[in-house]
Amino acid sequence: MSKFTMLLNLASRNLLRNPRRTLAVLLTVAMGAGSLFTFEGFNNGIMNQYRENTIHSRLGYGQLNTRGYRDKVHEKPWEHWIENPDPMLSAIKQLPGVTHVFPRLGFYALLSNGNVSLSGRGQGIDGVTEADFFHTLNIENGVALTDQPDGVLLGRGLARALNVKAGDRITVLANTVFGSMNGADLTVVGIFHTGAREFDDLVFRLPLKAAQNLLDTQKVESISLGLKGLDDWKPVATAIEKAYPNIETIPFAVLDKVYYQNAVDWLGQQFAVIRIIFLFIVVLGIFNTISTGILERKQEVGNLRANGESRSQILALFLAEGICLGILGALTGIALALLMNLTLLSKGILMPPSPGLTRQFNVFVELTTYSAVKTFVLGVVCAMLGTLLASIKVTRLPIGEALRSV
Amino acid sequence: MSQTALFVAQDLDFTYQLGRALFPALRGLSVEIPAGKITALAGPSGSGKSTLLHLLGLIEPVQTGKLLYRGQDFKTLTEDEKNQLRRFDMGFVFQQFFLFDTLSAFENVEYFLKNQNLTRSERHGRSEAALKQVGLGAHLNKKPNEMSGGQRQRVAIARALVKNPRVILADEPTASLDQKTGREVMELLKNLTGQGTSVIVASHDPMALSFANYTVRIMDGLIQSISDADDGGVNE
Repeated sequence: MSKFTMLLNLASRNLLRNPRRTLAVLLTVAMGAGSLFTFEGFNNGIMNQYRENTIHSRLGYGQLNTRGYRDKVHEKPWEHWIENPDPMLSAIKQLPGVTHVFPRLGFYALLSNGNVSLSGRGQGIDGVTEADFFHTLNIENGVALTDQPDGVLLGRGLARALNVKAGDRITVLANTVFGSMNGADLTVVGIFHTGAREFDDLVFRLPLKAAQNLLDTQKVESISLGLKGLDDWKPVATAIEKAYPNIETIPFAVLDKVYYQNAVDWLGQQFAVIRIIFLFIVVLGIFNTISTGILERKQEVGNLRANGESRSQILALFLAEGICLGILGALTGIALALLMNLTLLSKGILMPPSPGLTRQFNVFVELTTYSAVKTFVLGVVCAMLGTLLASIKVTRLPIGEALRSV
Repeated sequence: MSQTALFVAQDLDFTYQLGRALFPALRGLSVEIPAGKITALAGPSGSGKSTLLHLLGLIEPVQTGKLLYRGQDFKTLTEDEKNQLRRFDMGFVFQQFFLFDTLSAFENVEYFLKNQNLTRSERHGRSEAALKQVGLGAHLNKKPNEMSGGQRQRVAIARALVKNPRVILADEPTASLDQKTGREVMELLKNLTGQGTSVIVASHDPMALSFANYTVRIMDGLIQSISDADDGGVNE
């Protein structure tokens, strides 16, 4: 055995000297690591849920506009819309990672049921393609907008204000790109809610063709993208900007900065603070249990010192014991968290509506390898830190004083 | 200073402090301890014999006075140099044995060789030899809780002598043992002097003291008498 393995051998066997105390420390580390791992998984789950909601409710992974379009309010926005979009749509759809392209046309309009008139923001969309991707757009009455040529899908708040339901007829009035007034009679096919009240109170959707006819244009305002995954955004955005220098690509996190990115940043900061408090409590727990054991070993320390062990060697012995406990405790904690996630938490945790949303949602604890590694390292570091704090004073005791201790 | 003196103590004072209370243990004690002999530090409880032993073994710091080990002044040593002396030159045996319960007798002895820059086989050979020397050749793999008090003390002695130290310091080595076992332990310690190792024993056990060929009697922190059996009697 090398010097190091002799140290590890003694350290690991020392853990058996007081099984009850060892178990107490192990449980402290395991509970800490398990809770931290679950907490990290919950954070991952909540962030991913937020992201999925944002992507699959309305924004997609990102949006394309003509360059500079979003930077200011335009007097005649249609002058900045994308002309002749079909070849571009076909080309983008061929890019690796792209699953869907959603041409859209946004405009303000007046909606009327004959008695009540109010303003809303229309979105001309390709109903069939969008229905395939935007699955978190909840339809609470009627059906989704697909291939109905004169159909309109209303946000929940808009439908309530107009007092209409699926099957009712409404009139949509808007200015054409040439400045004249135009109108379309449409049938309400359904009522949706995304959870974002601001959106649900304002937005209605109609077929892109109907919108283009209403506005008397063939242009589209924007193109949203459906991708295979989050990692595809960068290469796809780069390829598009390279092929179409006049086109600007904007990721969903920027498009929804207020409700997505700010929420993610805010929650991330909150979780970081909670994590620090959590780790502090774990370190304190370990320190408390370990220090009792180490204080009882003062005479042993005295004997080791009397026989030539240096302070740092004794500290290394205690630290090795702490590391052993940290490794075992962290692994146990991670295993317990995995088990709990497969049983008690398998159906997720029902969460109340988050800021800006109006519906509850299930958060699944998403345990990743990265979180497991992070938890393991933190568990071991906590055990080391707790041990270090508990043992440093004892190793600094003069030998005689250590030997005289009872 | 005598040519054969292992330790030379001059005007040693040592005071324990417990809170605000001061307890003087040594009061200007001067003594020379010879090499190659079994030296007994004798005296009743509280006389200062263990304190002197601890000073000799670098367990307590020299407060006032001078203490020389083979001509080296303890006060001039760095912490690292003190560790080196404890590690290579000195072996300590305590009344309470202080063995690792979770290690076997062999491992208890081997552990203290880890700082000696030896190969694995050298460590094994020396550990086994030390345990054989103390009569535990058949008990290498026994754990301390499977051994008698005498056997445990023998393991502690083997642990001290496996380093091939110049001096073994034993603090009340027979106090936890019965007369017969205590005698065996003392015989063992005495035998070590035949191999060139100096042994210093602090004890108030008359049986243990009877093995000494150099006896320093201490009373109230001062030398009461010194007797050298090889020299035929009491010197002062």
